[in-house]
Parts: sequence; structure tokens; C-alpha cells
Amino acid sequence: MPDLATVAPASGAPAPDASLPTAGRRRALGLSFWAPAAWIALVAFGAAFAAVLPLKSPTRSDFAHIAAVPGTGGHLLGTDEIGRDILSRLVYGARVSLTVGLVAVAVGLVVGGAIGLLAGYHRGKTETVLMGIVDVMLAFPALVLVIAVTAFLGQSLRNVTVAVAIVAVPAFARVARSATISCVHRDFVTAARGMGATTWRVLRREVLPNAVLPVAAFALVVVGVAIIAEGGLAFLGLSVPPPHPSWGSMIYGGKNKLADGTAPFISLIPAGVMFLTVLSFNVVGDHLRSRFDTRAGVL
Amino acid sequence: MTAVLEVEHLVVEFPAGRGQRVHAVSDVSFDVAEGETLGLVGESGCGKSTVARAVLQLPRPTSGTVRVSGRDLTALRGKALRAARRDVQLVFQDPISSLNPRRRVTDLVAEPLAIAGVREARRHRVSAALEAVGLPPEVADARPHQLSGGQCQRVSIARALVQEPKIVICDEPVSSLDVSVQAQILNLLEDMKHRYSVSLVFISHDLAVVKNISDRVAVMYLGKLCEVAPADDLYRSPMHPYTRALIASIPSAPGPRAKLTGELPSPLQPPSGCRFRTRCPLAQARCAQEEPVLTERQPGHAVACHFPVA
Amino acid sequence: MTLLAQTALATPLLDVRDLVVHLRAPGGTVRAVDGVSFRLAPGEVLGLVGESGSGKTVMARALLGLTPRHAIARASGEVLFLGRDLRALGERALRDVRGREVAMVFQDPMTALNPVMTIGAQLAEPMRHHLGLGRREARTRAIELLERVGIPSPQRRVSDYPHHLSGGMRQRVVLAIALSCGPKLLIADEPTTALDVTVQAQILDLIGDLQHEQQMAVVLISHDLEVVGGRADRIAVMYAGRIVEQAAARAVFDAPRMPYTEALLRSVPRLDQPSHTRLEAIPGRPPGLDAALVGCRFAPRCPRADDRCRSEEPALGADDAAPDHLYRCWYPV
Repeated sequence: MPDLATVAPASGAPAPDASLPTAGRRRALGLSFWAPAAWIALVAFGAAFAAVLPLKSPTRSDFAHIAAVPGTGGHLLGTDEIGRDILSRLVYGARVSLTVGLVAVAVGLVVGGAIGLLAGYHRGKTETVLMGIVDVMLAFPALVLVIAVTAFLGQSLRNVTVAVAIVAVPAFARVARSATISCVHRDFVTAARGMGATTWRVLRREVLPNAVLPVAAFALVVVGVAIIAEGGLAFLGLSVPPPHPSWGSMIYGGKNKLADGTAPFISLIPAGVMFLTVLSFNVVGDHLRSRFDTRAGVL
Repeated sequence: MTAVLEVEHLVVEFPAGRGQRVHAVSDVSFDVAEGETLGLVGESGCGKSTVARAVLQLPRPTSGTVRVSGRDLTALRGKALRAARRDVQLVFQDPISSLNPRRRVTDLVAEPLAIAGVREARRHRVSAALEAVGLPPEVADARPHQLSGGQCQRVSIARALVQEPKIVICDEPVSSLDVSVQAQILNLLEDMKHRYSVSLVFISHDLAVVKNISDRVAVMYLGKLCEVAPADDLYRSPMHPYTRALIASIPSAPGPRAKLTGELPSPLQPPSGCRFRTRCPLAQARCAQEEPVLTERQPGHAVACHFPVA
Repeated sequence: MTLLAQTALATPLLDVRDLVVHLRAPGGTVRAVDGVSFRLAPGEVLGLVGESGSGKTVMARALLGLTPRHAIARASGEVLFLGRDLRALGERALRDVRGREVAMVFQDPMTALNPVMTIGAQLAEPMRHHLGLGRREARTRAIELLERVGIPSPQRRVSDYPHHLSGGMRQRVVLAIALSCGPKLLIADEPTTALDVTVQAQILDLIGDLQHEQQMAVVLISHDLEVVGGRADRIAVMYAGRIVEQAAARAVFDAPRMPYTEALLRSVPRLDQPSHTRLEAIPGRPPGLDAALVGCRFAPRCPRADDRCRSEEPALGADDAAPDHLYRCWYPV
């Protein structure tokens, strides 16, 4: 490549500025990314293909092996307190957890994000009204709200998802609003408006791509929270009704055997799986966030 | 000579809570002729950046008119305003934050054309603009964070010029750049001015830089114009005490250093009469009672002062 | 103190010998400071000039051991303050030196002060720690200091919080804090860059007055040659991690030997030039510091460079006729 930096500028021509500074080479994604990503993929795979996998029935009890230790009687992870295969219940339960986690968060992201974006861009009365509604929702105790929703709508996967989504919307609205505000202050938004762009174009091309990053990073953390929330609701008996398995209800079911120490694995295995899944989402979220944060400059 | 930009009685005030208002710009009027570079100089809080944005109606000024090639922007709305904005472009101070970090250079420079709905020859115009500002074709696919400050500023300038506007307002375009890069960008702006036949409004706090690039210079203090004169005249024989103090503060200025004492008054409650009187060594009773009007004392040289230095 | 007196002194106040600081960066290492040496006599003012990427800020912090440990890839050299190597001191001993014998002032007055502590409390802190003053005594002294740095109504201001003050005022407070324990050396890293030009002049004058009064040595760091020009006894020019020229201030302005210094002086617009004077811009950009550089670091941008410059880096030397004017060039101006 010709070294333009040393060429003396011809009269009238501006001095050229050729060289690209070396962009900071991104740290290669190591095991700390791929291990949790693999786990999430595994859980998702199981949830998606549960029906076609060679699993025992999650709802039928094997009366010969009640609370069987993992590995006995053909049950890879043992059986629960009424003899149902834990492994298959985990896989079917993953459906519930991932659906609530991902769908509720997606809904919260889209609805809450839109509210926050509009509030942050327009400010003034729009912001006051929108954020006022958001504040009211946030002030409502989440648990009470969810109980009310499920009591009103009934227990089902759809209703649990709706309930968690309702609680997620105000949180996303706040994060989206502050991300939007910090974006709108920057000169390139003024530049776009100065070039004659419509509000819609500015939001779509300038604000959204930049505001979405912190919101997406937040979303991955919220997935973890949503999964735990569903687990807690299931523990309270507010999630999908039995016999449909859910990680939370599995923990609940095994609580007596945990308390008296006879078969702690019935609760601990689903708890461990939930732990690993939430941790994986957090770690992957961290990696993706630091990778796409273009403001982290090179020294 | 035809005036490309005519600003008349521009007032910009912001509400500041508890019934107070920030008087950012108070009754400022100036013209920019075709092919001219007007320098706008002042320290922080004088309102020069607010003037720049008010000209573009971002935000709309509280009152006053802004005419670009005869068309009054303050009277335009919606689509007509957006169309008129193409004639006035803005180059910002911080080169990196004025470019969308998620877009590539070609897209950034093409944006004004895309907004205006120009389809034909778009790619050609973009590469012509990049070449004109001295950026090689390899830079086209880079993102702003991969470029240096000087290169980002060149991209900004290319973006401002690609639509061939009538006037480009540069708000402190070289203040965040290194000294050796400043000179490159200043030379570039001069070249572009001739090549694209644009007028420039060059805003800066750096007096030497402003003198170098401007035909005429206007000095602002606390929202008001103090003095307007041809560049060489202003520095050779400044008449307003504030201008004299500014020039004397420059480290390399010859002569004794007349230190400017005191603090900038609050723009919430600017002093009555002449706003500079609280720090002026020549202030008298009249200065508190009567606000001085910008009047021409010598051909082309106007001052707003009751007791200008001869 | 004149250059002559300085060379006659047996122990300089500050003697930096071959300081090297390489930092960790995502792509590798950045050789921010690559062998810097200079001396400072008591009461002398050294102006350190360099653009961004020259390494001057990294060097300023390295003098007091303020570079974060985890960021250092490699560091060597000596920083002798009154004969003691600051780099060899442990953290506790260094803390006694910082603020007490060597003080530092940073660029941005907005962030240099703690927003949740009053001015008085921040002023009193070093005095109480280093000098053991009691609370009342420290407060009295704080008010005296505020007065000395030109803050009006100091008795009232001492209970204010930083956000009540303007940028210029804050920088004066920062100076007052730096001087509170009577240091022998002040390192001022771009102290006026963030301030308006009229305030800049005030602050620089203040530093000059205080320097005379307290016979304090000052390392004045700036990217602006003009700022440093009128205020320094000697000037050192840094480029790409090294000092490329070092001489008495007047000599650097009137007769620079290093082409970079000369080009820098010529590329800055001056008030005595007529409007629209074409500036002599230096083409290109300072080199990235992530790779080992071969030959003279300014060669890619130098109009006088030839093959020897590109393959062999010149050492810092001087002519016999002017032994105090050091420069790093095969073909000096």
C-alpha cells in the first residue's frame, strides 16, 4: 500500500491522511464463553425436542422406584417423591422455564423498550406521562401483581408468561429511557436532524441501534431473573398446574425429602440445573456486552 | 454582495426552573456574505454554540429570524424546514461523538443524500467527497472508533459537503484535535471552501485559529455581540475592552498582560446595561444604565461599547 | 534558577533516568514511555510539551507511581527525588511523598475534586494526614490558602461544595490543595487545557507566583507550546514516548534543532500572521506505540529524512558549542 503519509501534498490538494490505526484486536472468545453457551444450547435443544427424545414419561410414576437414587432402575437422574423420572421432568420443565424466560423478556423488551424510547426522545409531557405510568407499575409489589394476574386469569404457561412480562415492562422502560437519553445528547443525533431527517428516521437509524446495546445486555440478565421468578411462582403453586413439570415445582415437590435428608437430590438436581442455566445466561450476556461496546477505546 | 445567511435579532432563552430563564443569546444580528468566512469567538457561556444550533432551528430560537438565501427558516415547518436544512450544515467539535458509532464511513457520508432521496450517482458523490477531504478509499468501510480524531473530522466535513450546501457552520471543529492535526484540518477547510464555494461560520474560543481562517470576526460575551470587524483589523486595533482582554490573555501575545479579573456573571441574571461592565476596567455609570448598541465606528468595524478604545 | 546553576548542582531535585513504562492494551503492549531522562533543579520550571500519544501523561503519573498496577506490562528506570528512587519505594513510603513533598495537579478540575466533600474538608485532608494538624488549625490554614489562590470570600467558600464553583475556581482550589503541605515539586498535567483562555492566563500566572514564593520546582505539561513558552526555564519536547529535544525555553523557540519542534512551531497559527496564511501542516500522524519502532520515530513525517534516519534511531546528543541544547536528530535544523 503506498505510504500516503509521506507524500508531500500537491498545491491545492489537502494533505492526505491514509493510515488506519490498528483496531483493538478483540479478545478471542474462550472457554468462559463457549461453556455456558453450550449449556444454554443443550437446554434449549432439550426443550425444543423433548417429544422426540428417548425419554421416559415425565408424568407417569414408576412405583417400583420411588425416590430412587440417580442411576438405579434405568433412571439416569433418579426419580422424584412419587416415582416420576427426574431427567425427563427436567427436560420438559426446561420448556416452561425457557418459555417464560425468553418470551416474557422479549415482550418486556419490545413493549418496555418502546415506551422508554419514546419517553427518552421526546422528553417533556410525553416523558412525564409515560414514566409516571411506569413508576406506578414499578411501585406495585411484583409478587402481589403476579398472584393477582394468575388468580384472575388462571394457571397456565401463557398466563405465567404474561404475568412475568407485565413485571418486566417497567424495568425495561427505565433502562431504555436512560439509554435513549444518553444517546440523544450526542452530536450525531443533532447532525441527523440537522440534515433534515424525520423523527422516525432518526429514531430508527440513529437512536435505536445505539440504545439497543445496553438494553440487550440488560435483557440477558433479566432472562435469568425471569427463570428464577417462574421457579419461585411454581414453588408457590402459581405456575403451570400439575402434572406438568416445572423446575420450581420439582424443587417444591422434593422439599420434604430434602428436609429429612432422605433424598435431597430430588430438589437439588433441578435447583442445580436452574443455577447453571441462569449463570450461563449472565456470563454469555457479559461477553456479548463487552464485545459490542464500541466505546471501549484502544489505548 | 449577496448575503447567504442573515440572522436578525436572534434570541434564545431556556427555562431554568423556579421561573428563571437562561439568557443564552440576546438579540444577536449578523450577516454572512457569499464566499465569506465569519469567525465567531468567545469563551464558554457566551452563547456561540447556541447561536449555531439556533440557526439550524435545533432548538427553535425564542424569537428572531434566520434567512438562508432569502428563505426564513423560522417560518418554515415540517417538510419545508427539513428541505431547507440541506443548505446549512453543521460540523461539530467532538469528531467521534458526531458520527454514529454503529455505521460505516460510506453510510455516514451518504446519509444526507439518502435523507434527501437522492438515488443517482450517490456512490460516486460519496467517494468524490471522501477523496476531496483526503481520505483514501480503504477508510470507507471502517467504523468511527477505528479512525483517529483527525480522520473522523474529515469524515464529518465530507458529510457536511456532500450535499453542496450554501453554508457550513463549524462549531469548534479543531478544539479536540492535536496541534499538528489542527493545521491539516484548517488547511482542509480553506481548500473545501474554495472547491465547493461555500460560506463558513467558524466558531471557536481560540483566537489565533479564528484569525487564521476568517475574513471577518465577531466577538461574543454573555449572549451579546461585542465587536465585529475584519480579522486583521480586529487583532490589530481592537476597540472593545473585552476583545482587548481576550487578545492580551493569549500566551504568545506581545505586550503587557492585562489580566481579566472577576468571574463570568450568571446568564440567569445578566448585568443591566452593558453585560461586560462588571469586569471592565473602563466601566462608568452610564454602562449600568444604558445598553450599548453595536455601531460602526470605522468602515466595516462595529463595536457595542460606550467608551471604545480608539 | 538558571541552567548554569542547575548544572553546577551536585544533586538535582528530580533526576529521571531512562524511565520506561509499557502498558497492557487489548492488542498487545503500548510503549507509552520508552526511555525518558531529564533533570530538574530546585525552583526550576521545566515545560514538557507533547501531543496526544507522546506519552507525557503516562510519564507524569509514573513519576509518582500512580499508574494502575494491573495496566503495566513492563516498567524500568529510576525516578530519583532528592536522591531517593521513588520507583523503589513501597506504597506506604510513596504515600508519604505524595502530597507532602511532590504534589500533582490534573487537567480536569471538574473531576479532580470529590463532589460530596466540602472544599474545606478536601483542603484539610492532606494537611491533617501529612502535617498532623488538628481540625481547627487545618480549617484556618485552608482559609488562608483559599485567599492566597485568589478565591474571594474564603470564609464562606470553605464550606461550599465543588459544584458551587466555576471551572477556574475549582482549579484554584486544586492548586491550593496541592500546595497545602509545601511541596518541593509540583507536577502540573495540562492544568489549563480545560479552561477558557482568560482563566488560563490567570491560573498560569498564579502557578508562576506560587512557584516564586515557595521556591518550588514545577514540571508543566502541556500540548500547547505557547502555554509553556513564557513560563518555563527549560523545555523538553516529547514525541512517541521519547524526549526529542531539551533546551532552555528561548532556545527551543528561537532556534529549534529537531525538525519536529520546528514543524510544530510552524504549524500553529499565530496572531502576528495575517488572516488566511497557509499553515505548514505536518503530514500524517504520530506513530502507534504498539510495535517496536525502527529508526527515528519522526522519520515517516520528516521532510529531511533519509535511509539512515529510517534504519538507525539517533541518540539524544548536543553540539559542543551548545552542550545544554539536547536533540535527537541526524540532520538537525
